Amino acid sequence: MPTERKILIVEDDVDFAGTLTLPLEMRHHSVQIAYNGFEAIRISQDQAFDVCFLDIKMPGMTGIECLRKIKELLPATTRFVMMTGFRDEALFEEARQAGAREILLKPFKMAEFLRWAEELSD
Amino acid sequence: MILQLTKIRTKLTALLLLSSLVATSIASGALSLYWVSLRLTALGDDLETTANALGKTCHATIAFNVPEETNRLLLTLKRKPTVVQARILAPETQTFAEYLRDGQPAVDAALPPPPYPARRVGWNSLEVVTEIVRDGERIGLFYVRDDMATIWSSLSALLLVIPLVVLGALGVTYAAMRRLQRGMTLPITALAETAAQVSQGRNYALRAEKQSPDEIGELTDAFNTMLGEIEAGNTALENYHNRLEALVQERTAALHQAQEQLVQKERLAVLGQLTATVSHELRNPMGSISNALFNLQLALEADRRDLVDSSLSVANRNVERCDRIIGELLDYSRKGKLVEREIEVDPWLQELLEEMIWPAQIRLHTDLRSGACFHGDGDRLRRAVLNVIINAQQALQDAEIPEKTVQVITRVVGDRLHIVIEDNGPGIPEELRGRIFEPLFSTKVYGIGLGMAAVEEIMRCHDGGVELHSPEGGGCRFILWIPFKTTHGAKNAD
Repeated sequence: MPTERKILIVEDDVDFAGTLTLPLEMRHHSVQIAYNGFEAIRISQDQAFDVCFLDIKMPGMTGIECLRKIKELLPATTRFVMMTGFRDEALFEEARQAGAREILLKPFKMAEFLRWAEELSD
Repeated sequence: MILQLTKIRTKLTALLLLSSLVATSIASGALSLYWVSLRLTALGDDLETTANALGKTCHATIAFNVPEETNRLLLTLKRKPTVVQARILAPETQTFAEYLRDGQPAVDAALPPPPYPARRVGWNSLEVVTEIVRDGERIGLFYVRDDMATIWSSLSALLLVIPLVVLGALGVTYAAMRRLQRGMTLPITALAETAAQVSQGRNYALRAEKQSPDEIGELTDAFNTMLGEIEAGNTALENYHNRLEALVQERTAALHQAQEQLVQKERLAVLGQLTATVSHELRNPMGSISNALFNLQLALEADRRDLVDSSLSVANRNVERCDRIIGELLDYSRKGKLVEREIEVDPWLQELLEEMIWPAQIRLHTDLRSGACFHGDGDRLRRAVLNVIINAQQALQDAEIPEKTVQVITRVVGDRLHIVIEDNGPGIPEELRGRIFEPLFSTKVYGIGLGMAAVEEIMRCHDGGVELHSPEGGGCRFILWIPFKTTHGAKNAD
């Protein structure tokens, strides 16, 4: 069994965020959900996370904008992974520039998601 | 007469006949005057001769003072029937002897003034006075008066002849002119005919035939030159016009092509954007379904009935979401012809509202009393109304207000039917109001932003429209309107 991780999911789609939470919790990870960028910033001020999954398209604040802000608040070891239904290379590049390690294209395989959630920081 | 005078031949004839009449009249008058003066001189000479001769004859009777004998001698004047009166004055002012033609009253007129012999001409009298001289000494005066009857009778005969002469002259003039004027008027009428043909047929290739080398000939030449210039100008103008037309057509075609390309480009851009939006919106629920299936397997393996149910319900919900997105897309892209029928708006709307699912916390108020009928596509208008109501329901869902209401009202305003849908939700921020009907514009977590665009498109197809009113204090009112020109509205006062 992998080491227990602290994970933040920033996703405006309630169902999508919910379906990601279940397998993580069954594997004994600690999961926090933020339904928008502002909520993510608020949570990041009090807590530290090992991995952050961010949806790119969200009303109010995009995932990339949110990433730039919470990166300042979270430990340098935190890994950021974007999730999106868009297929836009320019957007991906922007996300990478902002500090995203990987872009997961929706709908993705749960195994891949779990791999990114559980892989140890290098 | 005036109408006939509009023709140049008639004018010319009238002018020449008038001239001829005036000329012959003046000539005849002058000749008559000359003739009268000649006759007067001759008559005067004759009277003078007669007076001198009779005066001589009377020398003795005057000298011996025998007036009776002198009167007898004067009777010889009877041979001259036009002599009316004669008188011998001796001495100067006293009547010594007198002759009066039978039945003539004695006129004691003053004598013509000296020197003698003297003559005086009146309208109907010629008076002559001569001296009676004997041995170089004047012994009296001889006065004689003639009534000029011979002159007047000859003159009246002459005046009878003159009109005949004038008429003859006019006849001759007319005959001669008929022949001569043809040569003058023919070129003019030919010119006029050509001008008329040119102006009627706009045929500037026509030319007038030159018939004489005079001024009319010059006029014909000038006219023909002018026609030539007009023809050349016309041809140039026509060529220019044709060139311009061709140029306009060419440019229009190029413009059309550019426009088509632009439209095509725009269409592709919209299609690209639409595809991107729709695929993104589909991938979210698809991701949820995929995750739910993974979770379902986990739940089954762990034998967790509760997790099986929640995963299945997530999957189902998201399949519905996919279906809604596809439905929205189809609604918006449906461009087919309207399937129109007569619709009684109030019961139609009532039925539609009853079929809908209303969340428990939202109260529906209706005021459907327009009594109006309209012609429209019921299915598509139903979609428009549904989209607006769903929008209102969603706006109210997250609002934190004690009593959430949606009002639906129908009414006739002027020549329009209004369907008013109003909610007391948070309203639409001012900066977003202009974009609400834009395709692919959405503020929602779920939605591709075609719902309100479809409403606008459906109303536009019915020659109507949709208006948005969102006051600062909150709430949102959509008015869907249809003009009665396409409806058979049974109007009803509010």
